[in-house]
Amino acid sequence: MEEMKLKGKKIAILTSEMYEDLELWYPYFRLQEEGAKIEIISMLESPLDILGRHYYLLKTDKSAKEARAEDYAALIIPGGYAPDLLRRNEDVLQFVSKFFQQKKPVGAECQGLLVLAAANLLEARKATAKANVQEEIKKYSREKVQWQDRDVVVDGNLITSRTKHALPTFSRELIKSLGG
Amino acid sequence: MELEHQRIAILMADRYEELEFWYPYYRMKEAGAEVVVLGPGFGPEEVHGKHGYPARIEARARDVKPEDFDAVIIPGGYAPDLLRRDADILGFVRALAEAGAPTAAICHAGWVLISAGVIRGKRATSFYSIRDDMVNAGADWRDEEVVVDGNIITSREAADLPAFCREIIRALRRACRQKLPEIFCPTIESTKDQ
Repeated sequence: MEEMKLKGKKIAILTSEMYEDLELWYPYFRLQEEGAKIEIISMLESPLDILGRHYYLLKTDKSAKEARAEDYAALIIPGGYAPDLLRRNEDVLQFVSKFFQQKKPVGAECQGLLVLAAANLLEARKATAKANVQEEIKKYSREKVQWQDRDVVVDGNLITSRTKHALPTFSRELIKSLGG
Repeated sequence: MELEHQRIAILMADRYEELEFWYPYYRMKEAGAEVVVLGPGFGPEEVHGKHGYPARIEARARDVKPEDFDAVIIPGGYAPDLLRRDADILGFVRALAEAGAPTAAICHAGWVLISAGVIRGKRATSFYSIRDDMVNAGADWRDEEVVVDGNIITSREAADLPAFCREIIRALRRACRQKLPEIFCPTIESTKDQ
């Protein structure tokens, strides 16, 4: 019998209203399939029911203020409009920064990178994103991101993915970075 | 990768359940399989899920040969009610189920197994609302996240997707060993090494 590669690991997914449904639910189910436990972190008081762009209902577990990065093996930030809401919240930015300080894997999908840019975590990092996300980051961040023209880019602890269609590669890299 | 050289059909029609389609779709690709989105003989190529996500039908059941596929996965939603109206879809599912290929259905997809006539006497589950249909068709219905009876794999709903896909992949590994010499099939060690 094959082993579940992530048994005993707890992983945080950071999101909010208007999240991109598939970018959240694919890693959510995928990491569970490997035995990981998932917690949904938002800037909102929790638990709370939130809706994705396509109206999939999701229950949050903790607010970014309550959650401690020490408790998680990795962080995932799915795209959609949620990152635009998340990046305005100071607790969210501090929570995200801790994963970088602790050198834990951080997976950002599509607009999820906006949160990392707002927390000033992208200087000289190799990453990928769609053109509109790159433009948005250039507009308000002075950090120089080394944009790569690839669907998925791994740079140290940072794994970025630019479209839904990269979900298989994205989660393969994520599981690998967690030692699976 | 685990499922290289395996070709899997995922059945598709309008008003499919998005997560129950897209999770297995990307998951089988992640495992290295070739995935073909197979639709009934009627309706447009572009279909939409219950929540509006578009998807594209790549082939029609009447135009493919069941023996070219290693497994079939049937997502739920209301698509199964359209799928069960197509004799070629039902023939395709019956051919794979009878050949011992992994035949997996989640949620309302039990309807397709019923109409294909492959559920009688089998242990199975489904979305609770079609439990009576399953029981009346002769299934031994269980309320479990995934039920495996031989090559028939069934789950209740989207939340069961991790267990559902875990069992599909396990069944494909088993089926590979029955069909090909051991050397062509993924071993426990090689899946650990990835």
